[in-house]
Amino acid sequence: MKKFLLTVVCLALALAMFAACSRNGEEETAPDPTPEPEHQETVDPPPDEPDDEDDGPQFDEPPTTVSIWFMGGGVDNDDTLVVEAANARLAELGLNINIRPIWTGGWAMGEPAQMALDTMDTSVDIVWTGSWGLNYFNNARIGNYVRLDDPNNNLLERYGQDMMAAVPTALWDAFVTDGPLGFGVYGVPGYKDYAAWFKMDVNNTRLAELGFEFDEIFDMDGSNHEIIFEDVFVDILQASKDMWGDSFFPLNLEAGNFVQHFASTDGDLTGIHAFMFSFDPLNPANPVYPLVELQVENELFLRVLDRVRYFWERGFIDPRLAIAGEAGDIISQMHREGQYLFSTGQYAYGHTASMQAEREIDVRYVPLSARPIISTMSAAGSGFAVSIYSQNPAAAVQFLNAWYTDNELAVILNEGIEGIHWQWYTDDDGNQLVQLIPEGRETYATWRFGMGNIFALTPRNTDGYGYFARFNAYNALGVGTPILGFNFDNTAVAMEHAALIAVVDEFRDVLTIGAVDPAVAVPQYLAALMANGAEAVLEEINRQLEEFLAAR
Amino acid sequence: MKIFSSKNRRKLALLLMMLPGAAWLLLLRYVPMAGIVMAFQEYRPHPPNPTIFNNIRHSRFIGLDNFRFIFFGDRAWNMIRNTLVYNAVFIVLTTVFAIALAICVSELGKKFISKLYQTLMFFPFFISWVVASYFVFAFLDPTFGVLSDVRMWYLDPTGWPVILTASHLWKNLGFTCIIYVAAIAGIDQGMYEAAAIDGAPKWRQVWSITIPSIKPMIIIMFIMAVGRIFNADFGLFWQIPMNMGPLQRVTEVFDTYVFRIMQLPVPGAVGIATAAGLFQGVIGFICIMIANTIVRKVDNENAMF
Amino acid sequence: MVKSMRIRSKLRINRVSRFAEVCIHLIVGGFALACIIPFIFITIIAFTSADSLRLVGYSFFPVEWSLTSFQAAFDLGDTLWRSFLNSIIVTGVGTFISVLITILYAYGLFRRDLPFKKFFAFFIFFTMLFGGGLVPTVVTIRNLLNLGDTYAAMIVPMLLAPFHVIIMRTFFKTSIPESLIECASLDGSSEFRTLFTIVIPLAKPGIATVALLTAIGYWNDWFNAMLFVRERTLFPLQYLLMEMQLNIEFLRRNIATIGAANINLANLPSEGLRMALAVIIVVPIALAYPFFQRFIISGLTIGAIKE
Repeated sequence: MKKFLLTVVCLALALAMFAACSRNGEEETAPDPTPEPEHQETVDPPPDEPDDEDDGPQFDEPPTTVSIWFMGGGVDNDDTLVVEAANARLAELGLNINIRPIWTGGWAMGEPAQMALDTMDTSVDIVWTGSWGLNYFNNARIGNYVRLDDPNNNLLERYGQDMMAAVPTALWDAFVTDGPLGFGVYGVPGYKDYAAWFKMDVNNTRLAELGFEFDEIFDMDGSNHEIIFEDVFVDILQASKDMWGDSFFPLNLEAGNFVQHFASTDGDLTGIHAFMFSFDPLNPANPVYPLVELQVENELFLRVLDRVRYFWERGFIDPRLAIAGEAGDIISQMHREGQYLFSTGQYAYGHTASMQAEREIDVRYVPLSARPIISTMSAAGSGFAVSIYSQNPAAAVQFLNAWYTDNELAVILNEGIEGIHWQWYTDDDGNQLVQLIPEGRETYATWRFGMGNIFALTPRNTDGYGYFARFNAYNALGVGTPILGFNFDNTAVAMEHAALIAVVDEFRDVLTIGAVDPAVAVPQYLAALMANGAEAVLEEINRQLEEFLAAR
Repeated sequence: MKIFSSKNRRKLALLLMMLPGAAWLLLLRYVPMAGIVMAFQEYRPHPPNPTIFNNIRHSRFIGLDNFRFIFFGDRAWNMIRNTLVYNAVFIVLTTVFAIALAICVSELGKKFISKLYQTLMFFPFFISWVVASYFVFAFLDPTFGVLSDVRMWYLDPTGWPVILTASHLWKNLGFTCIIYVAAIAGIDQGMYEAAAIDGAPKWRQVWSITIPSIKPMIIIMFIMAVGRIFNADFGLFWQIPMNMGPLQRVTEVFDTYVFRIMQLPVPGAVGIATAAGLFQGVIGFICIMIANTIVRKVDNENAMF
Repeated sequence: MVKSMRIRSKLRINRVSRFAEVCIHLIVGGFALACIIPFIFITIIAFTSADSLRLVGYSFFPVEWSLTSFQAAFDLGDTLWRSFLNSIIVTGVGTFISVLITILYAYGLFRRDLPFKKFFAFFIFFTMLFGGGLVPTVVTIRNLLNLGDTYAAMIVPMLLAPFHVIIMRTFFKTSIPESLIECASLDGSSEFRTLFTIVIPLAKPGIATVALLTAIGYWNDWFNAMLFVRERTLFPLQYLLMEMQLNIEFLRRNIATIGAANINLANLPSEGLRMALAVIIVVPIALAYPFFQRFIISGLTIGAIKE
């Protein structure tokens, strides 16, 4: 009894303290520019007057610090000089803003950045987001991102005009989603290769050593989605085994991707890769089947599965690729050393050249559909969102606006500083291009395709002068899939959706790499999916999809 | 002036000693406990002014839905069984082996070799499960592994219960052993001398001096382990089997399962995590109470409270 | 002096037989060997050249040795040394304060005449089972205590572990006779004096054990750094390594969506570098172990004096 009483007292105390603590928090945040409809004036952080460029980098008030969670960076990244230069440039642009990049090294984004959102970290203003990884749609729906075009406090209109003009409308449209403040834009889309092209990565150096002629096998102007079913493909694989022995594995595959690409599957909108919407590889704007279906109920998908199993049994696939924890290391090792014939690839424009340089072999990307596709996944592939816990949302948008549109600032942040990280390079026609200095870039590594607006940059010498024109032409080639713009709201079936993850984890990877026999595993997989509510999820997706299509 | 009597001063001094710890507990453990309410909510940020107080106040109450999330579907029973069985086996084996090792080590006395053994035993405790998983992989690797000819280890669940148990013992035995070594070091040496003069053989001394002397420690360690019966070592069950699907039936435990469903950004993931923690706490609480009651019945002196 | 001589001779009399000693060496030595082999193996991998790894895979006897991995680790330069220093600061300061608080709390619980004894026992025991969850704890530390981006953020969250308090109290129970404290109190010694001059010297094995466990906890911790520290100059060593693991884990999970080829995998730290860092992390705390051990073993002698 005494114990119980004491516990009650403790809890009451805890609650009191808690309330006090949160009141503190409210006081702290009161003067900051959290959107308050009535007082639009207070939204401005101190003296930001973007138009007033005359008085140069002199500000009376201390600058507002905007921290941004960047993609990229190595363990020993040193951004001191870059940040100094970027801040100076921001001042030149009339923005009293200092930026503070947060790199958690190479790719350690997902965990810490999502954790920062979940634990209400007020020290993070801008987070990288996207349709993969830090899922844009779900975080927006939960309410983790600031709505940028909120009619009561339209940050985008006020501070982001230039940026809105610089990024194509189609991308802004892809970022419109439902959130706590209604349908709107909850992030700034990254502007890069929004058209995606499923490709097969071919090691032409090895192919030529085997005596096969690339042009006779692949059709670079058409689609090659039938190639794995042809006899010549098996002949090549067998020849490579005969030539380089048992320890050579010609197929360097990613579990899941290989099968999904050859089955012409639009990106999985549920994030668990059990469902698919198939398009016609000869004309990606055409659906093969008007609804979303289970992958293992799709005939083509099953056919590709059987084929992969056949390759596995013939010894064309390294068994270690079936081990999820190891596969990433092994795939990259085989790539680096050119120890493969065929691999999976997704097109990022201009990627072939850099792959050739990195692996020192003749890498060719073979298209699996007649044209690239634009899907919800690719259009909303990456972007930047303002955290709901940010203390300076207005300054954050001002910074993004400057970064997306100012060439000098973009080059500083994405490529580094002239003379340290890169130098000018003049091509034969007298055009000025950026040439990276490898030693300098070792301590400032960024992921160009994950860093905002790639078109604001100056092309690199490896890209060539006409890079952006060609890049745009490539993007223009893309055709929207029939369900472009649709994203799935799992709220109604969240429990079933979550329960399916364990089932998918149990079967999908080993099935799609060929490690288990589809004849045995597919029926088990299907039964397990059904037992955990796959049907309910499927019904919900298709209900929403039909609604979406009808509205369009 | 009775307050300043020597007896009261002593009590005050003792209370003063409790102060730093109690303050820490209050601030860092009890204040945040108000957050348990999130286990019953669909927790979401409250857009205009998202402080934790606002978020909690405005989030929707959804009853036990967060708990249902964890136990929905046909995989739940399997992971509950795995969690309980593995933990029970771990508790028994760790206790028995650690005590045996500690007694052996203590018999070696202060010699250099004994120190060396203890230092070596401690190494696994520093090696993270990720790094340890490379070691296991070096044996079971399907192409290069030392044991690759036996079977496709990562596709065949047979043998994994043994591998996991061995890994757990490897990592934790040395650590538990040291606690018992220290406990044995605290035993009055005179008791052994008296027994030796009486002619008691070594095993007899162990049985009637060492074990009874460290019994409080054994019981405490046991009760505390029982309180964590529903908490599985995440690294062990996630990293060592490399999260391989075909092994799921024997490697999935509570913590890995919750982690798995949290990979999906469901609304209210924070609430589900809180619910999972609360569930583990409640089960642990019940188990500790049962264990403590049994201990008190048998041996009142050594019950925890 | 004479006394200790006598004790030693008595110890010799009460020794196990030669045969039993050999058995003990076999058992304990065997287990110790099993414990160290993986570490040796990891060290060997860290010293193995990439070519050898490809040719014969993981092996105790690589065909070619190489210093590249350690070279890569030391190439991290300031980053490495700074985080090394950070780890030492956090571990040193944290362990000292934590052990002090633990001793005080445990000693109070051990004393019969502590007022509200049951309450205090329950107060700490309850937190072993129930917690408010991650979010409220983090918000308390970051917003209420305002500890973001400081060393304190890595020290404060781990200051008191119920497990350590209970172990400590049990040590007091088994090795401090209550009559001793009563005597001291009758002699007019104050409570704090009794604790620091009589109890603590007697409880050395227990304190050394708890200190060791605490130090390991601080040394191995990366989670608090991930939650509270954004300033790279404050990163501890473990977080550097963990960051690499997180990179790889994140990549692995998203590979199905974006495709490995879209990411410049060359930037990922090699397995060798990770192994080298793992070795670099283990060595200092393992070297510190004998220091703690002296106190654990010294309990043998103290026990003898106690008669």
